[in-house]
Amino acid sequence: MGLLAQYEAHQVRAAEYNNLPRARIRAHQHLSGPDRSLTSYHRIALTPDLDGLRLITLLTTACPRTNCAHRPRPDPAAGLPLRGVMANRSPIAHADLLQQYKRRYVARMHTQTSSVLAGFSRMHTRRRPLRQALTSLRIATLFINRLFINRLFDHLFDRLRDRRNTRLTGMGHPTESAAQPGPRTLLASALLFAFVVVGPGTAFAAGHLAGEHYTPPRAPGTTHPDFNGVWQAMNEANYDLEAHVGRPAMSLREGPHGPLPSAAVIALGAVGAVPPSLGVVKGDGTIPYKPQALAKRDANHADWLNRDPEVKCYLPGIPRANYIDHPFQILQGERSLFFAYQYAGAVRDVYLKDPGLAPVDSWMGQSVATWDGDTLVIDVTAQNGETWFDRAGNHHSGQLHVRERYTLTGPDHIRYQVTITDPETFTRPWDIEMILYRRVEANAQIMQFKCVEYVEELLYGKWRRHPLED
Amino acid sequence: MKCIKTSVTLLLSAGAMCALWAQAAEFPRTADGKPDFSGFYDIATITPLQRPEFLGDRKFISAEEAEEARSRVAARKSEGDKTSDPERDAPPDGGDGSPGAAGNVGGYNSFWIDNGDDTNQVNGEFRTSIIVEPANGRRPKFTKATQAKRTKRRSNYRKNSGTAWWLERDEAGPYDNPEQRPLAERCLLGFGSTSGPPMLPVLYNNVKQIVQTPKHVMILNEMVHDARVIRMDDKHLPDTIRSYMGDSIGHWEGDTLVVDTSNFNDRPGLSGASSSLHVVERFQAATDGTLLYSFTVNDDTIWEGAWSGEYSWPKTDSVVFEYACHEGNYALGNIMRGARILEQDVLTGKGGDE
Repeated sequence: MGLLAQYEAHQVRAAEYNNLPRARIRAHQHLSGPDRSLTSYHRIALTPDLDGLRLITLLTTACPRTNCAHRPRPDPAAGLPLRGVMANRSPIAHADLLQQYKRRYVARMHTQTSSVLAGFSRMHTRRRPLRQALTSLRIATLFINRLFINRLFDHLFDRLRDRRNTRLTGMGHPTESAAQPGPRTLLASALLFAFVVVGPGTAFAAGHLAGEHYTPPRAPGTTHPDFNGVWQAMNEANYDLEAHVGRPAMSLREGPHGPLPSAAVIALGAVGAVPPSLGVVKGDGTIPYKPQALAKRDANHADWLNRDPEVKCYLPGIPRANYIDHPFQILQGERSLFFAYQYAGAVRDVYLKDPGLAPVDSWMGQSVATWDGDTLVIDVTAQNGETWFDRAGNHHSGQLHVRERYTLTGPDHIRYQVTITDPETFTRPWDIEMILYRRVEANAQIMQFKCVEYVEELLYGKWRRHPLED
Repeated sequence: MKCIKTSVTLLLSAGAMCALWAQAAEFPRTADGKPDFSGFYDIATITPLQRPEFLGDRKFISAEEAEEARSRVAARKSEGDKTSDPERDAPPDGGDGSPGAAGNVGGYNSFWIDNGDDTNQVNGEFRTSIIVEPANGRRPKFTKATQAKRTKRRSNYRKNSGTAWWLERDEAGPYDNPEQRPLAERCLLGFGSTSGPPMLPVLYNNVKQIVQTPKHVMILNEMVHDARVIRMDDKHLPDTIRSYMGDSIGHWEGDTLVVDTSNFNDRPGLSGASSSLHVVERFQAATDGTLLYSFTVNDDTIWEGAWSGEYSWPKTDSVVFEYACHEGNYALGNIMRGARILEQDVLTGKGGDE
C-alpha cells in the first residue's frame, strides 16, 4: 500500500475511530503499547478464557507514519487473524463485541448440531453401535450446552460491566483486578471449562486458545480434516536438510582452488549443481549426530554417487518420500488412509488402528495414525535403516522412530513437522518442519515413474552381451 | 401343518433379511451413498483363467467335485510342505526335468506358494474358469501375426542345457540385454497379470487393497507395490501418455464401479497384450458378501475377439506387506552374468562345469 493510500485509509479509520465506543478506544491504547500516537488500527475479537476474556487482534491496517513500517502486521488483504503477535490478556472489552461473539458462537453451535444430527441419521442405516452411542452422547452435550449458553454470556456481560466501571473511574489496575478472581469469576471459569472440555465447541475453542485459525473441511463421512489431494514439497530438503550454500555438484572432489564436480558428473554442468537453502532442521539448524554417525555422514557425502539409495531407485523411506522432488497423493477414505508416491511407485498404507510391533522391517516402515485435534499424527517405525534423509548423506539406523504431524493451515497448505528419534545415531530427538503444497492444477495427478528401468544401465549395463560404448 | 408352514415362512423371511443385512454390513455406504469397497481382498483361487479343454462349455462343477478338487490340492501342498532332505544331492546338470515356477533346479516348496485352496464361487456356482465369454471359457485364437511372433519368441525358451546355445545361431540371444527379460524378472511389474488390468490371481501375493475416496479409487497390487489410482468421472490422458498399467478412469453405474483402462505401453501387465489393449472392469457387491470382479478385454491386434471373465474377491483380515522387489533383485544381474560366463565357456572351449 502506497503512502498516500495509507493516509487516505487512515482518514477513514480515523473517522471510524472517533465513533468507537469508549472501552474500545482504551483497548486500542492498551494494544498500541508505548506508541501513543495510535498509528495502527486494530480490529479486535474476544474469546472466553479461563481468566475471563482474551483479546485477539484480528487485523492491523492503515499506518500513515513511516516509522511504523517495521512493525509486524498481517496482510490485510488476506484477512488472516494475527494471533500471537498482538494477542493480549486484558479485562478491557466491550459488550457489543461480546454480543457479536455470542451470536457467532450460537451460530456455530447450530451448524454443529445440524451436521451432527445429519451424521447420526446417516449412521442410522449402518450398524455401528459404538459410533452411534458416541454421537448420541455428543448430541446430548450439545443440547445441555445450549441450555447453559445464555446464562454463561449473561454472566460475562455482568463481569464486563463491573470491570469497565472500575477502569473508567480509575479504580485499581486492570491486571490487578484480573488477578483477583471473585466468586463469579470462578463460576464463569467453571462454566467455560465445561464448555471447552466437554462441549461441542471443543475444536473451535481449543483451536482459538491453541492458536489455530483455519478450520479445514472434513473428509466426507468422517469428523477429520480432509487431506485428500496431490501434494508436493517446494524446497531443497532432498539436497540437504541442513542449511547450506550452493555447491557445484552433489558429488565433489578437491580442485586446485576449492571443490569441483567429480569426474562422473562433470557433464551435467549447472543442472547437477546443489541449490542453496536455509535448511529445514529446527533449532540451531544442525543434526545432532553422535561422533561416529557424523563421520559416517561425511563419508556418505564424499561417496554420494555410490551410496545414495535414490541413485539406484530404491524405496525412499519416511520422511524423505515426502520431500523428494515428486508429487504424492493422499487417499483418505472413510475407513482408510493411504499415501501413493510418484517416485519409484512407493506406497504406504497408514493404519488407523495400531497393530502393534511390525512383524518385519521394511524400506517404508509401518505407519500408524492418530489424531491430535485436527492434526494428523503418524508414527513410523520398523524402517530398515537402509534409507537416507537426503542427497547429502544424512542417515539413520534401524532404530529410527519418525513422528510426523500434518496440519492443514489453509486449503492448499500442510504444515509438515517431523520429530526424528534414533538413539543409535543422534544424541537427542530433532525436528524438521516444512510446508507441503497442494498441486492445484486441474489435472494434478501422480504418474508412472518406474525408475527401476532407468537404472538398469547403471546396475546391469556392464553385463550386456555387447556393453554400450562410453 | 399350518403352524409348520408359518414357521418355515418366518424362518425363510428372517433368513432373507439376515442375508440382506449381512450384505449391507459387508459393504457400508459412503457419505455420498456409494457402496464402500475399501478393504483387503485375497483373490487366490485354484480356478484357472482358462477352462481345461476337456470340460468344454461346462461353466461350473458340483459342490462334491469342488470338495474333491480342494482335497486334491491340499494333498499336493502337504506333500510339497515336507522337509527337504538335508543329505540330498545337488540337482543334476540342467535340472531334474520337473516343471513349475521354481524352474527345474530346485526352488520354492509349498511354504512360498499361496495360490489358493478353493474353487472360486460366483453366485453359488463353483466355477471351472475365470473366463466366461467365449462360452468355452478360453481366450479367442491369436491373430495370425501374433501367432507367428509367438512361435518365434518361443524359440528363445529352451530347457537349460548348461551351454550358451544361442551362440549357434546368428540372432540375438535371450539374455543379451536386461530389456529382453520379462517385466517380472526386472521388477517392473508382477507376473501373470497380477497388477493387470485385468487383475488375475497368481502363484502368491494375491492380496489386494482398495481405498475409496469421493474422487478416486485406489487398488494396491501386492506384487511390486503397484498402486492403481483410478480417477473418477475424468477423461483419459492424451494418447502419447502411456504406461504399463495404462490410464484408468472410473464411474458409477448404480452400485457398480466401472473402470475403463487404455493408454497402455507396448508391454502391458496382461501378458501377450499390446498397446492397443482396452480393458473394462466392473466391481460390485455380490450376495455372498464378496466383491464380484468382472472384466472385458479387447485387443484386436492380438486376439480374434473380445473376451470376458469374472470371479469373486473374498475379504481378508490380512494386510499388504511391502514387496521391495528391485532393492533385492540379485536375480537379473546374475542371469546376465551367468549368460556371459556360458558364452565365455563356448569361446574358450571350456565345459559347463566351470
